[in-house]
Amino acid sequence: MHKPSVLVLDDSSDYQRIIARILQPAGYKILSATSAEEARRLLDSRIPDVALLDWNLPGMSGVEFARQLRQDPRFKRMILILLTVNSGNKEQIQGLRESGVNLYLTKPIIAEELLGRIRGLLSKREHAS
Amino acid sequence: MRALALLATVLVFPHSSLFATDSQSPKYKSTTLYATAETQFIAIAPPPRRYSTSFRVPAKPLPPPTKAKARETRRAAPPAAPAPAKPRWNPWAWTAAALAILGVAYGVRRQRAAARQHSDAMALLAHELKSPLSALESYLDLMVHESAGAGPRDVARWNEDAKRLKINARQLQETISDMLQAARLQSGALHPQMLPVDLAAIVRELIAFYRPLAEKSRVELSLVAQGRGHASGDAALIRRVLHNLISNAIKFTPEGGQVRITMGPDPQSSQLLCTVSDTGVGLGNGEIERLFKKFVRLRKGLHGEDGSGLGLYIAKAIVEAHGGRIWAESAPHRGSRFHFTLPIKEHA
Repeated sequence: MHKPSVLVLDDSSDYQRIIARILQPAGYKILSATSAEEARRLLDSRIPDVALLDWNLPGMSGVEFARQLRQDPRFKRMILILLTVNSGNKEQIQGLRESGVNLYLTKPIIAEELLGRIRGLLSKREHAS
Repeated sequence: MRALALLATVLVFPHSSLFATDSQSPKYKSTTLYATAETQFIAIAPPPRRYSTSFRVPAKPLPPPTKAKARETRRAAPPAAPAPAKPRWNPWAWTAAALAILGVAYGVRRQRAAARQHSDAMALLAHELKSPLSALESYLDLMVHESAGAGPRDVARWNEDAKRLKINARQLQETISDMLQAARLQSGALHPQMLPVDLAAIVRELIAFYRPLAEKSRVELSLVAQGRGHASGDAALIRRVLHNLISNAIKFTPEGGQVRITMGPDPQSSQLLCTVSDTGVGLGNGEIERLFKKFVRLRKGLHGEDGSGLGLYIAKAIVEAHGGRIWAESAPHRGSRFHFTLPIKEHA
C-alpha cells in the first residue's frame, strides 16, 4: 500500500518533533526542512502528497512558498496546509486564498485534528482523481 | 480629516474673516449670505446730500461751479457715508489658518502613527506570548495522545519533551518579565539601589543557567575576568542586563561558535567594563542604531528563538540608570560585541 509522504517545513525544532511524532505512528513518511531553500532542494527529487508549511519562516514566508509551489505544474495536486500561531485577519485570509493553500491550521497542533484533516483532504483528492 | 481641520480653524479663529466681503470685487459677493445683503444695502442707499433742503427755490439754476469752488465744495462736503466694507483680505488669518490646518493634519498623522506603532507592538507581544504557549499545549496534547495508545509509550522521549516544555515555559516567563520591566521603565520607576555587586559571580551563575541551551545550540560559553569584577549597583537589575546580552549572543551564534564574557577596569571612564562578544551573524551599521529602541526585533534567532524586542531597550535603561554606558560594535558575519560600563565599587 502506498505510504503517503508529508513535507514538514518549520524552523522550530519543537514543531518538527511534535508533527513527526503524530504522523509517523499513523503511517506517514516524513520529510523535514527548516527553510524554504532546504524544502526546495528536497522537492527536486520527490513530490510529497502533503506539505505542512509554517507561516513565519526566516527569509521567505510559508504563504509565499505555497504561492510559488502552486505555479509549478508538478505540485498542482499536492495538498498544502499552512500552520500559524496567529489567527489571521481579513487580509491574511484573502492572501491565503490567492496562494492556493488548501487548509489553514492554527497552532497549537492538536494530534487528532491534524490527523483527521490530512486524512480528509487525502481521501477527497483520491475521489477527485 | 478635512472637516476636522476646518472645525479647528473655526475654533481657533472665530473672528477672523477669511472670506471677507468686498463690494468692489464682485467675485467675493457670493461667499456668504451676509456679505450679499451688506453689499446690496450699500448699493441702494441714497447718495449723501451735499446741501440742505429749504423752502427757497433758486430763481435760476445755479451756475456750474468753478474749479476752485468745486474744490471747496469737496472739502466742505460732509463726511461720506460709512465706507463700504473694506477689502478684508487678511494674510495673517490665512497664514494662521494654514498653520492650524497643517498642525491638525500633523497631529492626526502622528496620532495615527503612534496608534499603528502601538498595535504593531501589541501584535508582536501577543506573538511572543502565543508562540511558547502553543508549543506547550502542543507538547501536552502529544503526550496525552501517545499515552492514550496512539503512539509508543516511550518514557525517555517524554522526558525529553518535558525538558523542552521547560524551555518554552522559561521563554514565556522571560517575555512577561521583560514586558513588566518595560512598563516600569516607562513610568520612570527605576531607582537602582547602589550596593556592592560581584559581577563575576553573576556571570558565572548565568553561564551555569545558559549552559544547557548553549549545549543544545552547540555554542561555547566562557568568562574571562580581569581583577575582581566588583561593581556598585542593583544586583537584580544588572543580572537582567547580562541575561539579555548573553541570551541574545547565544541566539545569534551558529553551531560551533563562541560567546565570551570579559570584564575589567575601563581605562577611559574609570568604571568597570563588561563585554559580551560572540562569533555570530553580526549586524549592519543601520541595524546597530536601531538596536536599543523599544520593540525593535531585527531577526529571529538562529535556533528558532523569538524575542520580545524589549531586551536591549531594558538593558540600556538599566545601565544608564546606574550612570553607565552601553554600546555595540559589529559587522555582518563577523560577530558582535556588546559593551557596558558600571560604577566600580568604592573602597573595594
